[in-house]
Amino acid sequence: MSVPIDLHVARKVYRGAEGGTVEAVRDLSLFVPAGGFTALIGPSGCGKTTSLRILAGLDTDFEGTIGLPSETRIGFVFQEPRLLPWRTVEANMRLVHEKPDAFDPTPLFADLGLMEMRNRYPTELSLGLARRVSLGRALAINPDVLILDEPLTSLDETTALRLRQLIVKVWQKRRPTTLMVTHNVREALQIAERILLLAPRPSRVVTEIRLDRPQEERDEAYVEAMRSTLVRDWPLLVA
Amino acid sequence: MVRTTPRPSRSGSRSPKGLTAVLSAATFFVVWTLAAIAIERNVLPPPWVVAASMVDEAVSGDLFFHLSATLSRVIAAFVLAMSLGTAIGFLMGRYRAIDSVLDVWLIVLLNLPALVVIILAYVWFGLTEAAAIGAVALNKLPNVIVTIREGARAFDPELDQMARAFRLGWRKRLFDVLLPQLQPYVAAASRSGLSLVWKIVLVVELLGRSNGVGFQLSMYFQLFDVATILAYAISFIMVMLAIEILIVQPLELRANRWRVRTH
Repeated sequence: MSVPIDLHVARKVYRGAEGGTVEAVRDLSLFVPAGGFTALIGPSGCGKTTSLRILAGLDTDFEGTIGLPSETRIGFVFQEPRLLPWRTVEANMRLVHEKPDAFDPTPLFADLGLMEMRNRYPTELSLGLARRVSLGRALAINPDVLILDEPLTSLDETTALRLRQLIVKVWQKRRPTTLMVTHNVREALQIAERILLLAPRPSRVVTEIRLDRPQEERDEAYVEAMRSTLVRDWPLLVA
Repeated sequence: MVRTTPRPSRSGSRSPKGLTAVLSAATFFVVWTLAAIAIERNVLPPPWVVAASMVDEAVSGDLFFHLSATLSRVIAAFVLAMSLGTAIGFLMGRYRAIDSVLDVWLIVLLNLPALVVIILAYVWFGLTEAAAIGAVALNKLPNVIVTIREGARAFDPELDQMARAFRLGWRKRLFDVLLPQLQPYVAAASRSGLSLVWKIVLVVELLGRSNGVGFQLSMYFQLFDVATILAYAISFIMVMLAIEILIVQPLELRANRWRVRTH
């Protein structure tokens, strides 16, 4: 079951080693309707990743509310694939599942085009393939919420394009409530349903952009036009 | 598992490496023979005399009896030290509080001479098998702890975070995420451990057991029978060599199979 995300971070402060503090987030509210696909965009260091970590329960030192039922299954795709190098691709996928032996990863492998890779070790994979496995691992638990932390950085354009299509495909098929962090506006315009623009530190949402056109119908011209509008309206936030 | 790409550098270097080892061993025996001729025969008997004495001991059954006594002590002490040391080292590396409580005792143990531990164990617990094995294990324990603690300190926080994000249970975290990261450290500790343990086992046997290689060595030392002393020492070294080649190396290869791949 998809559940809505309703995150509210009143304040998140980082304490430096020498006692100084940096306020990373202030009064940030993120809402993603159940089954929706929202992209978070903002300049680097604006607390995007921090918000994801708080949402996933990886960082509990903050003021605010997460607003997710405690039994929510969260699939997390990290910026680096973070696979276990000593386990095969298939074992990496099985690991996160509640019943690793009962889990049949074959349909997922088929969806992600990883059929031939199932017995390989992560060290043998290219970054693009490892990212696909990482996405597959997040989907293996049949997540209610899918969190993508810059899943497409440092990929070449062709690989990134394929992975983008793949993300859209699995999202449409399984409909987890999806929240993606990116600093690439084109990427967000191509695959998200909705974009939240964040202002830098302490970060907060400055505007929401709805993208009603289905992903398949968004061509180069559409993406370019949307981007120009965004750059014009928010020159400091959108590159 | 199918490996598509063979590693030419490895297979290519195998035979010269084997040849070098054989040549090196041959040189050793030549030097030994020459030295035996030059020195008095009783002090350094030539290789064939030692071999003959080895055969004598083997035929009488003594050799295998004492070798197996020593070997079982080595295994018992090794297993004890490795399992306890891994557990303690893991906890010390992972939890700062435990580390600060145990650190001073670790330093004490590291600097306690093996002989003191052995003598005290015999005095306090009697000349028993348990005291002997315990004393050997206690001598090896601090090294294991120190090595494993380094490993536990070097755990990858990113994988830890992944495990938390996916809410993995403690069993999966331990066996799939953490222990594989410790594997090189466990390998290093057991490598140095096996050799250290068998050397200390001999001392334990010499001081308080009535069988084992150490006991035989002390007996033939009193008889000044250098040939038999060498026969026992070389036999046990051969046993350890066999363990290294037949057990330790294949295990390491297996544990590292995800690394031994071409990119």
